[in-house]
Amino acid sequence: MRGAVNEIDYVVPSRLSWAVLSAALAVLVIPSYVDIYRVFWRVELGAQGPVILAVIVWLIWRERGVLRRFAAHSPLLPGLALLATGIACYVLGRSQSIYSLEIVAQIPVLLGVASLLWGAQGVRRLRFPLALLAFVVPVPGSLLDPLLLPLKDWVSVTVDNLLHFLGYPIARTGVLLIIGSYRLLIADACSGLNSMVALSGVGLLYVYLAAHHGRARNVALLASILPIAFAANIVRVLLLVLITYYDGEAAGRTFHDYAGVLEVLFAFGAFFAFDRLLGWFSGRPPRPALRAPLPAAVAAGVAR
Amino acid sequence: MNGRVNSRVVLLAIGLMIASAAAWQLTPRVRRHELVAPLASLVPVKFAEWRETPLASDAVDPRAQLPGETDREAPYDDVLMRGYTNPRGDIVVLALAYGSHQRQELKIHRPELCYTAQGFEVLRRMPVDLPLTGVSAQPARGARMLVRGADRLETVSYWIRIGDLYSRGAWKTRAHILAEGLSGHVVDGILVRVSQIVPDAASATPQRFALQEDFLAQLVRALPANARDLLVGDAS
Repeated sequence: MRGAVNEIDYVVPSRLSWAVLSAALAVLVIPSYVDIYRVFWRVELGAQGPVILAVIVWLIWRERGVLRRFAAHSPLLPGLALLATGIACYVLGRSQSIYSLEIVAQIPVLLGVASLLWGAQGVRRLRFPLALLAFVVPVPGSLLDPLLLPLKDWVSVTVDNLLHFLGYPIARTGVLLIIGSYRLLIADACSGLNSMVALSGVGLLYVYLAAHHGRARNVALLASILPIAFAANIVRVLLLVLITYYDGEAAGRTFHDYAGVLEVLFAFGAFFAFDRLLGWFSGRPPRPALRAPLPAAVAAGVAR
Repeated sequence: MNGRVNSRVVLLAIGLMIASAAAWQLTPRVRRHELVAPLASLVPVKFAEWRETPLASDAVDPRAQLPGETDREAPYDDVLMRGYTNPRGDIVVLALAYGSHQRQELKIHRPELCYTAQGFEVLRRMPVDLPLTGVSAQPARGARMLVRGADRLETVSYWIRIGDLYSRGAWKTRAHILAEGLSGHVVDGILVRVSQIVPDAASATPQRFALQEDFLAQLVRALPANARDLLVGDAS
Protein backbone atom coordinates (compact mmCIF):
# COMPACT_ATOMS: atom_id res chain seq x y z
CA MET A 1 0.00 0.00 0.00
CA ARG A 2 2.78 2.40 0.90
CA GLY A 3 4.85 1.58 -2.15
CA ALA A 4 2.04 2.36 -4.57
CA VAL A 5 1.57 5.91 -3.33
CA ASN A 6 5.24 6.74 -3.06
CA GLU A 7 5.84 6.41 -6.80
CA ILE A 8 4.19 9.69 -7.67
CA ASP A 9 3.89 11.60 -4.39
CA TYR A 10 7.28 13.11 -4.02
CA VAL A 11 9.38 15.91 -5.45
CA VAL A 12 13.12 15.88 -5.87
CA PRO A 13 14.28 19.29 -4.67
CA SER A 14 16.87 21.18 -6.67
CA ARG A 15 20.38 21.82 -5.40
CA LEU A 16 19.42 25.43 -4.91
CA SER A 17 16.53 24.38 -2.63
CA TRP A 18 18.96 22.45 -0.47
CA ALA A 19 21.34 25.39 -0.38
CA VAL A 20 18.63 27.85 0.65
CA LEU A 21 17.28 25.48 3.31
CA SER A 22 20.73 24.77 4.74
CA ALA A 23 21.62 28.45 4.83
CA ALA A 24 18.40 29.42 6.62
CA LEU A 25 18.85 26.66 9.21
CA ALA A 26 22.49 27.57 9.69
CA VAL A 27 21.66 31.22 10.32
CA LEU A 28 19.16 30.09 12.94
CA VAL A 29 21.11 27.47 14.85
CA ILE A 30 24.81 28.29 14.48
CA PRO A 31 24.77 31.42 16.69
CA SER A 32 22.98 29.37 19.35
CA TYR A 33 25.61 26.67 19.33
CA VAL A 34 28.41 29.21 19.42
CA ASP A 35 26.88 30.58 22.64
CA ILE A 36 26.26 27.14 24.07
CA TYR A 37 29.84 26.23 23.33
CA ARG A 38 31.16 29.32 25.09
CA VAL A 39 28.91 29.02 28.11
CA PHE A 40 28.59 25.29 28.69
CA TRP A 41 30.53 22.97 26.42
CA ARG A 42 33.94 24.54 26.72
CA VAL A 43 33.80 23.75 30.37
CA GLU A 44 33.04 20.62 32.25
CA LEU A 45 29.52 21.83 33.01
CA GLY A 46 28.09 20.30 29.87
CA ALA A 47 30.77 18.18 28.33
CA GLN A 48 28.27 15.48 27.37
CA GLY A 49 26.37 17.96 25.17
CA PRO A 50 28.55 17.72 22.06
CA VAL A 51 28.54 13.93 22.23
CA ILE A 52 24.76 13.92 22.20
CA LEU A 53 24.65 16.49 19.40
CA ALA A 54 26.98 14.36 17.30
CA VAL A 55 24.71 11.37 17.88
CA ILE A 56 21.69 13.43 16.82
CA VAL A 57 23.43 14.44 13.58
CA TRP A 58 24.31 10.81 12.96
CA LEU A 59 20.74 9.63 13.61
CA ILE A 60 19.40 12.20 11.15
CA TRP A 61 22.08 11.30 8.62
CA ARG A 62 20.89 7.69 8.76
CA GLU A 63 17.52 8.85 7.47
CA ARG A 64 19.04 10.56 4.44
CA GLY A 65 17.57 8.03 2.03
CA VAL A 66 14.08 9.10 2.95
CA LEU A 67 14.87 12.76 3.40
CA ARG A 68 16.30 13.10 -0.11
CA ARG A 69 12.83 13.59 -1.58
CA PHE A 70 10.20 16.00 -0.33
CA ALA A 71 6.61 14.89 0.06
CA ALA A 72 4.47 16.46 -2.62
CA HIS A 73 1.23 17.05 -0.77
CA SER A 74 1.97 17.23 2.92
CA PRO A 75 -0.57 19.36 4.81
CA LEU A 76 0.48 22.90 5.57
CA LEU A 77 -1.21 23.54 8.90
CA PRO A 78 0.52 21.18 11.38
CA GLY A 79 3.92 22.19 10.07
CA LEU A 80 3.14 25.89 10.30
CA ALA A 81 1.79 25.50 13.85
CA LEU A 82 4.95 23.70 14.98
CA LEU A 83 7.13 26.22 13.22
CA ALA A 84 5.32 29.21 14.75
CA THR A 85 5.50 27.75 18.27
CA GLY A 86 9.17 26.96 17.84
CA ILE A 87 9.99 30.39 16.44
CA ALA A 88 8.20 32.15 19.33
CA CYS A 89 10.20 30.12 21.89
CA TYR A 90 13.40 30.66 19.95
CA VAL A 91 12.93 34.44 19.77
CA LEU A 92 12.21 34.67 23.51
CA GLY A 93 15.03 32.32 24.46
CA ARG A 94 17.66 33.79 22.19
CA SER A 95 16.91 37.47 22.85
CA GLN A 96 16.74 36.99 26.64
CA SER A 97 19.68 34.56 26.88
CA ILE A 98 17.54 31.70 28.18
CA TYR A 99 19.80 29.08 26.66
CA SER A 100 17.70 26.04 27.47
CA LEU A 101 14.61 27.53 25.85
CA GLU A 102 16.64 28.62 22.84
CA ILE A 103 17.92 25.10 22.20
CA VAL A 104 14.73 23.26 23.09
CA ALA A 105 12.89 25.58 20.68
CA GLN A 106 14.80 23.87 17.89
CA ILE A 107 12.67 20.77 18.47
CA PRO A 108 9.36 22.31 17.30
CA VAL A 109 11.15 24.42 14.67
CA LEU A 110 12.80 21.38 13.09
CA LEU A 111 9.70 19.22 13.48
CA GLY A 112 7.85 21.99 11.64
CA VAL A 113 10.46 21.88 8.89
CA ALA A 114 10.11 18.08 8.75
CA SER A 115 6.35 18.29 8.58
CA LEU A 116 6.33 20.90 5.82
CA LEU A 117 8.92 19.17 3.65
CA TRP A 118 8.50 15.48 4.35
CA GLY A 119 5.02 15.28 5.83
CA ALA A 120 3.90 13.00 8.62
CA GLN A 121 6.44 10.37 7.63
CA GLY A 122 9.27 12.86 8.08
CA VAL A 123 8.00 13.80 11.53
CA ARG A 124 7.89 10.13 12.52
CA ARG A 125 11.42 9.56 11.28
CA LEU A 126 12.90 12.60 12.96
CA ARG A 127 10.97 12.97 16.18
CA PHE A 128 13.24 10.81 18.28
CA PRO A 129 16.56 12.29 17.13
CA LEU A 130 15.12 15.79 17.51
CA ALA A 131 13.72 15.08 20.99
CA LEU A 132 17.28 14.28 22.09
CA LEU A 133 18.04 17.99 21.60
CA ALA A 134 16.47 18.46 25.04
CA PHE A 135 19.56 16.78 26.50
CA VAL A 136 22.11 18.97 24.79
CA VAL A 137 22.05 21.83 27.32
CA PRO A 138 22.17 21.52 31.09
CA VAL A 139 18.86 22.27 32.78
CA PRO A 140 18.91 25.70 34.51
CA GLY A 141 20.21 25.36 38.05
CA SER A 142 17.24 26.56 40.03
CA LEU A 143 14.87 24.17 38.27
CA LEU A 144 16.56 20.99 39.34
CA ASP A 145 18.37 21.99 42.51
CA PRO A 146 15.66 20.85 44.94
CA LEU A 147 15.61 17.45 43.27
CA LEU A 148 19.30 17.02 42.82
CA LEU A 149 20.81 18.48 45.98
CA PRO A 150 20.14 15.36 48.09
CA LEU A 151 21.66 13.29 45.30
CA LYS A 152 24.80 15.35 45.45
CA ASP A 153 25.20 14.47 49.10
CA TRP A 154 24.64 10.80 48.39
CA VAL A 155 27.41 10.83 45.82
CA SER A 156 30.04 12.18 48.18
CA VAL A 157 28.76 10.12 51.13
CA THR A 158 28.89 6.93 49.04
CA VAL A 159 32.39 7.66 47.78
CA ASP A 160 33.52 8.53 51.31
CA ASN A 161 32.09 5.32 52.81
CA LEU A 162 33.33 3.10 50.02
CA LEU A 163 36.91 4.35 50.16
CA HIS A 164 36.87 4.35 53.94
CA PHE A 165 35.73 0.73 53.86
CA LEU A 166 38.59 -0.10 51.50
CA GLY A 167 41.02 1.39 53.99
CA TYR A 168 41.90 4.67 52.30
CA PRO A 169 42.74 7.68 54.51
CA ILE A 170 39.64 9.66 53.59
CA ALA A 171 37.54 12.20 55.48
CA ARG A 172 34.66 14.42 54.49
CA THR A 173 33.27 17.72 55.72
CA GLY A 174 30.31 18.93 53.72
CA VAL A 175 31.36 18.91 50.08
CA LEU A 176 35.05 18.76 50.91
CA LEU A 177 36.74 15.37 50.56
CA ILE A 178 40.18 15.01 52.11
CA ILE A 179 42.24 12.06 50.93
CA GLY A 180 45.83 11.72 52.07
CA SER A 181 47.26 15.19 51.76
CA TYR A 182 44.82 16.31 49.06
CA ARG A 183 41.63 18.30 49.42
CA LEU A 184 38.95 17.89 46.79
CA LEU A 185 35.81 19.93 46.46
CA ILE A 186 32.97 17.79 45.29
CA ALA A 187 30.63 20.54 44.20
CA ASP A 188 27.80 20.57 41.67
CA ALA A 189 29.53 19.78 38.45
CA CYS A 190 31.99 17.39 40.01
CA SER A 191 29.29 15.21 41.38
CA GLY A 192 28.03 15.57 37.85
CA LEU A 193 24.45 16.45 38.58
CA ASN A 194 24.17 18.23 35.29
CA SER A 195 25.34 15.06 33.68
CA MET A 196 22.35 13.19 35.13
CA VAL A 197 20.30 14.87 32.44
CA ALA A 198 22.72 14.12 29.64
CA LEU A 199 23.11 10.53 30.79
CA SER A 200 19.34 10.11 30.80
CA GLY A 201 19.54 11.12 27.14
CA VAL A 202 22.14 8.43 26.58
CA GLY A 203 19.79 5.91 28.19
CA LEU A 204 16.89 6.87 25.95
CA LEU A 205 19.22 6.65 22.97
CA TYR A 206 20.22 3.14 23.95
CA VAL A 207 16.62 2.01 24.28
CA TYR A 208 15.90 3.51 20.86
CA LEU A 209 18.85 1.90 19.15
CA ALA A 210 18.32 -1.47 20.78
CA ALA A 211 14.74 -1.38 19.46
CA HIS A 212 13.55 -4.40 21.39
CA HIS A 213 10.10 -5.75 20.70
CA GLY A 214 9.41 -6.95 24.22
CA ARG A 215 7.66 -4.30 26.26
CA ALA A 216 8.97 -5.61 29.59
CA ARG A 217 12.54 -5.37 28.43
CA ASN A 218 12.11 -1.78 27.29
CA VAL A 219 10.45 -0.83 30.56
CA ALA A 220 13.27 -2.46 32.53
CA LEU A 221 15.82 -0.59 30.44
CA LEU A 222 14.01 2.71 30.95
CA ALA A 223 13.82 2.09 34.69
CA SER A 224 17.56 1.49 34.79
CA ILE A 225 18.37 4.93 33.37
CA LEU A 226 18.47 6.91 36.61
CA PRO A 227 20.30 4.27 38.70
CA ILE A 228 22.91 3.89 35.96
CA ALA A 229 23.33 7.66 35.65
CA PHE A 230 23.81 7.82 39.42
CA ALA A 231 26.32 4.97 39.33
CA ALA A 232 28.19 6.73 36.52
CA ASN A 233 28.49 9.77 38.79
CA ILE A 234 29.86 7.71 41.64
CA VAL A 235 32.41 6.06 39.37
CA ARG A 236 33.48 9.45 38.10
CA VAL A 237 34.04 10.93 41.56
CA LEU A 238 35.66 7.72 42.77
CA LEU A 239 38.15 7.74 39.89
CA LEU A 240 38.82 11.43 40.38
CA VAL A 241 39.63 10.88 44.05
CA LEU A 242 41.78 7.80 43.43
CA ILE A 243 43.72 9.34 40.53
CA THR A 244 44.42 12.39 42.66
CA TYR A 245 45.50 10.16 45.53
CA TYR A 246 47.92 8.08 43.47
CA ASP A 247 49.10 10.48 40.77
CA GLY A 248 48.67 13.93 42.28
CA GLU A 249 46.48 16.92 41.60
CA ALA A 250 47.65 17.56 38.03
CA ALA A 251 46.61 14.08 36.96
CA GLY A 252 43.30 14.60 38.75
CA ARG A 253 42.67 17.78 36.80
CA THR A 254 43.48 16.11 33.49
CA PHE A 255 41.04 13.34 34.31
CA HIS A 256 38.46 15.92 35.28
CA ASP A 257 38.62 17.39 31.80
CA TYR A 258 37.76 14.12 30.10
CA ALA A 259 35.46 12.77 32.79
CA GLY A 260 32.31 13.87 30.94
CA VAL A 261 33.08 11.81 27.86
CA LEU A 262 34.22 8.83 29.93
CA GLU A 263 31.00 9.01 31.88
CA VAL A 264 28.95 8.74 28.69
CA LEU A 265 30.98 5.72 27.62
CA PHE A 266 30.59 4.12 31.03
CA ALA A 267 26.83 4.68 30.97
CA PHE A 268 26.52 3.24 27.48
CA GLY A 269 28.54 0.22 28.52
CA ALA A 270 26.38 -0.23 31.60
CA PHE A 271 23.19 -0.10 29.55
CA PHE A 272 24.65 -2.64 27.15
CA ALA A 273 25.65 -4.96 29.99
CA PHE A 274 22.29 -4.63 31.71
CA ASP A 275 20.51 -5.27 28.43
CA ARG A 276 22.55 -8.43 27.89
CA LEU A 277 21.68 -9.53 31.39
CA LEU A 278 17.99 -8.98 30.69
CA GLY A 279 18.32 -10.95 27.47
CA TRP A 280 20.04 -13.77 29.32
CA PHE A 281 17.24 -13.89 31.91
CA SER A 282 14.52 -13.82 29.30
CA GLY A 283 16.19 -16.86 27.80
CA ARG A 284 16.37 -15.51 24.27
CA PRO A 285 19.63 -14.69 22.53
CA PRO A 286 20.03 -10.94 22.80
CA ARG A 287 19.94 -8.90 19.65
CA PRO A 288 23.27 -7.13 19.42
CA ALA A 289 22.33 -3.54 19.95
CA LEU A 290 24.30 -1.67 17.33
CA ARG A 291 24.62 -4.35 14.71
CA ALA A 292 20.91 -4.73 14.07
CA PRO A 293 19.86 -3.78 10.54
CA LEU A 294 19.18 -0.31 11.78
CA PRO A 295 16.63 1.28 9.47
CA ALA A 296 14.50 -1.84 9.70
CA ALA A 297 14.87 -1.98 13.47
CA VAL A 298 14.03 1.69 13.77
CA ALA A 299 11.05 1.42 11.51
CA ALA A 300 9.82 -1.49 13.59
CA GLY A 301 10.34 0.54 16.73
CA VAL A 302 8.45 3.48 15.26
CA ALA A 303 5.61 1.38 14.00
CA ARG A 304 5.01 -0.08 17.43
CA MET B 1 16.24 18.57 -11.39
CA ASN B 2 15.96 22.24 -12.31
CA GLY B 3 17.14 25.43 -10.64
CA ARG B 4 13.83 26.43 -9.06
CA VAL B 5 13.63 26.70 -5.31
CA ASN B 6 10.89 24.61 -3.77
CA SER B 7 8.07 26.88 -2.57
CA ARG B 8 7.96 25.33 0.91
CA VAL B 9 11.68 25.93 1.24
CA VAL B 10 11.12 29.59 0.36
CA LEU B 11 8.41 29.79 3.02
CA LEU B 12 10.69 28.18 5.59
CA ALA B 13 13.64 30.37 4.74
CA ILE B 14 11.53 33.48 5.18
CA GLY B 15 10.14 32.23 8.51
CA LEU B 16 13.56 31.34 9.87
CA MET B 17 15.07 34.66 8.75
CA ILE B 18 12.27 36.53 10.51
CA ALA B 19 12.99 34.51 13.66
CA SER B 20 16.68 35.45 13.61
CA ALA B 21 15.92 39.10 12.96
CA ALA B 22 13.27 39.25 15.69
CA ALA B 23 15.60 37.67 18.23
CA TRP B 24 18.28 40.19 17.35
CA GLN B 25 15.81 43.09 17.48
CA LEU B 26 14.48 42.07 20.93
CA THR B 27 17.90 41.66 22.52
CA PRO B 28 18.10 44.19 25.38
CA ARG B 29 20.73 46.90 24.97
CA VAL B 30 19.84 49.88 27.23
CA ARG B 31 21.99 50.18 30.35
CA ARG B 32 20.79 52.04 33.43
CA HIS B 33 23.98 52.22 35.45
CA GLU B 34 27.54 52.49 34.43
CA LEU B 35 30.71 51.64 36.25
CA VAL B 36 32.37 55.05 35.80
CA ALA B 37 35.63 54.08 37.52
CA PRO B 38 37.10 50.96 39.08
CA LEU B 39 35.43 50.05 42.36
CA ALA B 40 38.80 50.34 44.09
CA SER B 41 38.90 54.06 43.34
CA LEU B 42 35.18 54.69 43.90
CA VAL B 43 35.19 53.23 47.38
CA PRO B 44 37.11 55.37 49.91
CA VAL B 45 39.87 53.76 51.93
CA LYS B 46 38.79 55.84 54.94
CA PHE B 47 35.27 56.71 56.05
CA ALA B 48 33.50 57.26 59.37
CA GLU B 49 35.62 55.43 61.92
CA TRP B 50 36.89 52.82 59.45
CA ARG B 51 40.20 52.74 57.61
CA GLU B 52 41.83 50.23 55.30
CA THR B 53 43.87 47.39 56.74
CA PRO B 54 45.82 44.69 54.86
CA LEU B 55 43.67 41.79 53.85
CA ALA B 56 44.26 38.23 54.94
CA SER B 57 45.17 36.32 51.78
CA ASP B 58 42.66 33.57 52.31
CA ALA B 59 39.53 35.72 52.36
CA VAL B 60 36.79 34.12 50.28
CA ASP B 61 36.78 35.72 46.84
CA PRO B 62 33.23 36.29 45.55
CA ARG B 63 34.55 35.37 42.11
CA ALA B 64 35.23 31.89 43.40
CA GLN B 65 34.50 29.91 40.32
CA LEU B 66 31.59 27.69 40.69
CA PRO B 67 32.62 24.32 39.33
CA GLY B 68 32.81 24.23 35.58
CA GLU B 69 32.97 27.95 35.07
CA THR B 70 35.67 29.80 33.24
CA ASP B 71 36.93 33.29 33.92
CA ARG B 72 35.66 34.70 30.69
CA GLU B 73 32.10 33.75 31.37
CA ALA B 74 32.10 34.75 35.00
CA PRO B 75 29.45 37.39 35.54
CA TYR B 76 31.72 40.15 36.90
CA ASP B 77 33.20 43.30 35.48
CA ASP B 78 34.92 44.41 38.65
CA VAL B 79 35.53 43.00 42.08
CA LEU B 80 36.85 44.77 45.15
CA MET B 81 37.98 43.07 48.32
CA ARG B 82 39.33 45.20 51.10
CA GLY B 83 39.88 44.87 54.83
CA TYR B 84 38.84 47.67 57.19
CA THR B 85 39.48 48.22 60.87
CA ASN B 86 38.07 50.62 63.47
CA PRO B 87 39.72 52.15 66.56
CA ARG B 88 38.36 49.35 68.76
CA GLY B 89 40.26 46.80 66.72
CA ASP B 90 37.32 45.20 64.91
CA ILE B 91 38.34 43.91 61.50
CA VAL B 92 35.84 43.42 58.71
CA VAL B 93 36.30 42.35 55.09
CA LEU B 94 34.32 44.15 52.42
CA ALA B 95 33.63 42.36 49.15
CA LEU B 96 31.93 44.05 46.21
CA ALA B 97 31.32 42.20 42.96
CA TYR B 98 29.74 44.11 40.09
CA GLY B 99 28.43 42.67 36.85
CA SER B 100 27.00 44.96 34.19
CA HIS B 101 25.07 42.22 32.41
CA GLN B 102 23.07 39.73 34.44
CA ARG B 103 21.63 36.86 32.48
CA GLN B 104 19.47 33.91 33.35
CA GLU B 105 22.37 31.51 33.58
CA LEU B 106 25.14 33.96 34.39
CA LYS B 107 24.24 35.81 37.54
CA ILE B 108 26.08 37.13 40.55
CA HIS B 109 26.92 34.15 42.71
CA ARG B 110 25.10 33.98 45.98
CA PRO B 111 27.61 33.91 48.88
CA GLU B 112 26.12 30.69 50.21
CA LEU B 113 27.22 29.04 46.93
CA CYS B 114 30.58 30.83 46.85
CA TYR B 115 31.48 29.81 50.34
CA THR B 116 30.27 26.28 49.77
CA ALA B 117 32.28 26.07 46.55
CA GLN B 118 35.38 26.87 48.59
CA GLY B 119 34.73 24.18 51.13
CA PHE B 120 32.82 26.14 53.74
CA GLU B 121 29.71 24.85 55.36
CA VAL B 122 26.81 27.22 55.92
CA LEU B 123 25.78 26.63 59.55
CA ARG B 124 23.07 29.28 59.77
CA ARG B 125 21.43 31.52 57.26
CA MET B 126 18.54 33.90 57.73
CA PRO B 127 17.06 36.72 55.71
CA VAL B 128 17.48 40.16 57.22
CA ASP B 129 16.63 43.76 56.35
CA LEU B 130 19.71 45.94 56.52
CA PRO B 131 18.81 49.53 57.41
CA LEU B 132 20.35 52.18 55.18
CA THR B 133 19.84 55.12 57.52
CA GLY B 134 20.54 58.45 55.88
CA VAL B 135 20.46 57.02 52.37
CA SER B 136 17.12 55.42 51.83
CA ALA B 137 13.98 54.79 53.83
CA GLN B 138 14.00 51.34 52.22
CA PRO B 139 16.21 48.80 53.95
CA ALA B 140 18.39 46.60 51.80
CA ARG B 141 16.97 43.11 51.80
CA GLY B 142 19.75 40.63 52.38
CA ALA B 143 20.84 37.80 54.61
CA ARG B 144 23.09 36.84 57.51
CA MET B 145 25.15 33.69 57.55
CA LEU B 146 27.42 31.83 59.90
CA VAL B 147 29.86 29.68 57.93
CA ARG B 148 32.50 27.18 58.98
CA GLY B 149 35.63 26.49 56.99
CA ALA B 150 38.48 24.08 57.57
CA ASP B 151 40.27 26.55 59.84
CA ARG B 152 37.80 29.24 60.88
CA LEU B 153 34.28 30.52 61.40
CA GLU B 154 32.95 33.64 59.70
CA THR B 155 29.90 35.83 60.15
CA VAL B 156 28.69 37.16 56.83
CA SER B 157 26.09 39.82 55.98
CA TYR B 158 25.22 40.64 52.40
CA TRP B 159 22.74 41.85 49.92
CA ILE B 160 22.53 41.31 46.20
CA ARG B 161 21.01 43.98 43.99
CA ILE B 162 19.93 42.80 40.56
CA GLY B 163 18.42 45.64 38.56
CA ASP B 164 15.78 47.18 40.80
CA LEU B 165 15.47 44.12 42.97
CA TYR B 166 17.14 43.01 46.16
CA SER B 167 17.56 39.44 45.10
CA ARG B 168 16.69 36.78 47.61
CA GLY B 169 15.51 33.95 45.45
CA ALA B 170 16.32 32.55 42.06
CA TRP B 171 12.78 32.67 40.69
CA LYS B 172 12.04 36.31 41.45
CA THR B 173 15.45 37.24 40.11
CA ARG B 174 14.88 35.35 36.90
CA ALA B 175 11.46 36.94 36.48
CA HIS B 176 12.92 40.41 37.05
CA ILE B 177 15.72 39.88 34.53
CA LEU B 178 13.17 38.61 32.02
CA ALA B 179 10.73 41.50 32.52
CA GLU B 180 13.49 44.11 32.26
CA GLY B 181 15.01 42.36 29.29
CA LEU B 182 11.73 42.31 27.39
CA SER B 183 11.45 46.05 27.87
CA GLY B 184 14.91 46.44 26.39
CA HIS B 185 16.96 46.93 29.54
CA VAL B 186 20.22 45.21 30.32
CA VAL B 187 20.08 44.37 34.02
CA ASP B 188 23.19 44.94 36.12
CA GLY B 189 23.90 43.49 39.52
CA ILE B 190 26.16 43.75 42.52
CA LEU B 191 26.99 41.69 45.56
CA VAL B 192 27.66 43.78 48.67
CA ARG B 193 29.15 41.54 51.33
CA VAL B 194 30.88 42.08 54.66
CA SER B 195 32.39 39.40 56.87
CA GLN B 196 34.35 38.91 60.07
CA ILE B 197 36.30 36.00 61.45
CA VAL B 198 34.83 34.83 64.76
CA PRO B 199 36.44 32.50 67.31
CA ASP B 200 33.39 30.33 67.92
CA ALA B 201 29.71 29.99 67.09
CA ALA B 202 28.71 31.67 70.35
CA SER B 203 30.43 34.86 69.15
CA ALA B 204 28.03 35.18 66.23
CA THR B 205 25.79 37.48 68.25
CA PRO B 206 23.25 39.96 66.88
CA GLN B 207 25.64 42.71 68.04
CA ARG B 208 28.40 41.36 65.87
CA PHE B 209 26.12 41.21 62.84
CA ALA B 210 24.85 44.71 63.67
CA LEU B 211 28.43 46.00 63.73
CA GLN B 212 29.22 44.73 60.28
CA GLU B 213 25.87 45.86 58.90
CA ASP B 214 26.42 49.31 60.36
CA PHE B 215 29.73 49.29 58.49
CA LEU B 216 27.82 48.77 55.23
CA ALA B 217 25.35 51.58 55.99
CA GLN B 218 28.23 53.97 56.75
CA LEU B 219 29.97 52.88 53.57
CA VAL B 220 26.92 53.59 51.42
CA ARG B 221 26.54 57.03 53.05
CA ALA B 222 30.19 57.84 52.36
CA LEU B 223 30.02 56.97 48.67
CA PRO B 224 29.70 59.51 45.87
CA ALA B 225 26.26 59.41 44.22
CA ASN B 226 27.36 57.49 41.11
CA ALA B 227 28.88 54.74 43.22
CA ARG B 228 25.99 54.69 45.68
CA ASP B 229 23.69 53.99 42.74
CA LEU B 230 25.69 50.90 41.93
CA LEU B 231 25.29 49.51 45.43
CA VAL B 232 21.65 50.26 46.09
CA GLY B 233 20.28 51.51 42.76
CA ASP B 234 16.54 52.09 42.97
CA ALA B 235 16.13 48.72 44.48
CA SER B 236 13.27 47.74 46.70
